[in-house]
Formats: sequence, C-alpha cells, structure tokens
Amino acid sequence: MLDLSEKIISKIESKQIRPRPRWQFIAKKYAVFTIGIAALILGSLAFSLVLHLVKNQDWELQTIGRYRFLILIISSLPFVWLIFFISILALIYYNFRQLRKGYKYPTRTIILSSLAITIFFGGLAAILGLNQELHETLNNHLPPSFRAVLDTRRPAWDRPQAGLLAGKIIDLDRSHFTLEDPHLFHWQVQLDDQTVIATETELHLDDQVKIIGLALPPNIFIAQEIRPWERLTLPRHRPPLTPPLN
Amino acid sequence: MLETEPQDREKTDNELVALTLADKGNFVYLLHRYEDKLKRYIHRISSFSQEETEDILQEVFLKVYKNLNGFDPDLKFSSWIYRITHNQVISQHRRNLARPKTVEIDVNIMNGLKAEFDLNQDIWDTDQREEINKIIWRLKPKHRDILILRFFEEKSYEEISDILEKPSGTVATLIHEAKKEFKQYWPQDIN
Repeated sequence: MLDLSEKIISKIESKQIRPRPRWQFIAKKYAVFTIGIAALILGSLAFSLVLHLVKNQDWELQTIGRYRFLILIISSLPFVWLIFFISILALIYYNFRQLRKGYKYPTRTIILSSLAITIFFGGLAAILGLNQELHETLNNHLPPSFRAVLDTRRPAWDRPQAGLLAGKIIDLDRSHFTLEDPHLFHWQVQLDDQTVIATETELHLDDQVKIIGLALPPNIFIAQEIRPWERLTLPRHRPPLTPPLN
Repeated sequence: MLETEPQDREKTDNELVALTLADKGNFVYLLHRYEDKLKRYIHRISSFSQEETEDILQEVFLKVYKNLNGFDPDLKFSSWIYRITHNQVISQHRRNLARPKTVEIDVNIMNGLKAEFDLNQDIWDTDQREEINKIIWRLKPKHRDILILRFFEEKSYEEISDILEKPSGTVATLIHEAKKEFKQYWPQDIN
C-alpha cells in the first residue's frame, strides 16, 4: 500500500501537474498594485467632486425661505459620490489585503491611511480646479437623468412651484428666454427691470442657469434672480436687463 | 516508501523549494518533512477522520506544489504551508466539529499550559488532561485555533500572524482573549 507521500508524487506524475509559472504570480502582483493605484486616484477624484458639490451648494436657499437648513443639508449631500467614495475605500482595503504583507496592518490603519491619501489628493485636485473641470465634463457628456442623480444641487432647483428652476437656455430674446429643464420641459422665462442677474457674463444660448422666481401656468416663469449654474458670484442689479441676441 | 537522504535533512525549506522547482522529485523531501506535523495539526484543529485528514493533506501538498513559484521567500516556508493547511481545513467548514474530539497533550504541552495558565504545577493526571481537552473544544473556534498554534504547535506570534494572516497586534489580543476564555472554563477544584 502506498503511503501519502508516494500517493502525492504519483498523482503529480500521472496528472502531469506542474507548478504554475512565475509570470502568473508576478502579473497578479502588478494587477493588484495597479488596481490599488487606480482606486486611490478614483477615490481622490470622487472626494474632490464631493468637495465641489458641497462648496457650490446654494446654502443661502434656506435664508430666502425656500428650504429648511436641515432638509437642505440632507437633500444636497452628494450621496452618489459619497457611496462611490466609500465603495472605493472598501476596494482599496480589500486590495491592500491582497498584497503579500497586507495582512500585517490593522484594519483601522489601512482605512485611515487610504482616507488620508484620498482626502489629500482630492483636496489637491480641488485646489487645482480639476474637480470643477471633471464635474463639467461629466455634466456635458451624461444624459440629463444621470446629471440629476450625480449633481445633488439639481433636485433643490427642480421645484418650479416653489419658485426654483434650473436648466439650459435654448432660445434667447431681449425680454425673455426659453429654458429647458432636466425633464426637457420648456419654460418661457420672463425678465423685467427688477430681475437680478448674478453673472459676470451676459446670458448666452446653451448656458446652464438657475432661477428664483414665480411659476405661472402653463409654462411661464417670472424671473426674480438668475444665477449661472456653476459659478456663484455676488448678485448685482443690472437695470435694465438687455440680454444680447446671439 | 520513499526515503529521505541524510544530506537533504540539512537543507533548509527554501533550498528544498528551489530544488523542487528544478526537479519535481525533490518534492518528496518537503512531503516527508511536513507530513506528520501537518497531520497532527489538522487533527488538533479539526475533527476529521484519518482518511479525511489524508485527503485534506493531499490537497494541501498539491496546492503547495502548484503554487511553489508564488512562495514568498521573505516568509517562513512552514508558516506558508501551515496557512494553506489552515485555510484548507476552514474551507471544509469544520463540518465534523460536532464529533467528540480530543487533542494529544504530551508532557511538554502540559507543562507549557500549566505555566502559561497558572495551573497547579504538581498535578499531572488524566483528569487535567481530559479537562483541557474538553475546554479546548468548548472555546470559540478563533480562540481554539490560536491556542493550538501557540501552545501545541509552539509557533511564535510572528509565525501565527503569517499563518492566520492577521496583524501581530490582533494575534496578541486573540491569545489574551483565548487565555481568558480558557481560564473561565477551568474548574477551580482541579487547580
């Protein structure tokens, strides 16, 4: 009767079992490393987008009585990016554990280190303005339904009955323009001498704007204040309003 | 039966790994070196029968052979092979855990346990041995595993960390908790 060692050797020979080639282990090591670096980059970018959205949130909406502050905070948290960011942290953690000595480090060290790295590089991306560029790129290339999910400022401005409206200018005249909202509904936005325009530039076709005003059936919106979607500058009165014709 | 040549007993595990990669026939020396140790270890952490243990061991050695190129020489080979064995046992889901089980407790292990757990050094009898057996199998699996590695397999914290793939700090905490749980079950009248 064969002893265990002999059985194993004979199995190796009969089934022609060979050690897996070294390159497979090296490839796995580099794959783990690359995924880790990619996850850190994605995590940093996700964090920078969170910063961008929080920084550019219209917090003063609660001061003009349109929202309660707590509701505004909860509704404007960029949940999609936060969930993405947390998922990336989980991926970094799992990935780190796959490294040869990854198990040597306590969970909190790995989590806190990856958090610190992503916050640092995310902050750096924000300082360099990369987050705004990325946000605009995503905005320009994603369908409107995705934009609404990714950009948590949108729901706050998607309440025409509460006097808050946002969208893209698709037609422009001296005293009014046509605005397409995220649901592709067309609003006739009317301007008058009292309308405040918080923008450094003139209104142009395809501009993304947000408007505070009054909705009148069926599709009229009387604008009291117009702001550019991305930049929030101090409001300034522009009497009388004369948007140029393109 | 394949014999181990005397000169191969002097070779380190890492040298034998390199020799096996050059010629698979040398794998037999690693088999002989670890067969009994691992068989004993599997018996200690599980309730597998002799036959099941041999099947597991066969799987372990085949895994080791297939993954020899992935062995990290910074790690002790013994830690690596114990880790593979441990994981193989775990992957069987400890399905035979319900069976009555005993672990071999020789004089050295008993003395080590007595010193470590502050048990009465003068008492060395069957009662104590049976009690230890019972307690070992009442412990939480994670505590049992770590006590067996520490006191039965006599592995260092570093080696346990490599086998269980846990940070050294966690190993120290687990050992502390395992000792506490062990003492909690230890009857005062025996001590």
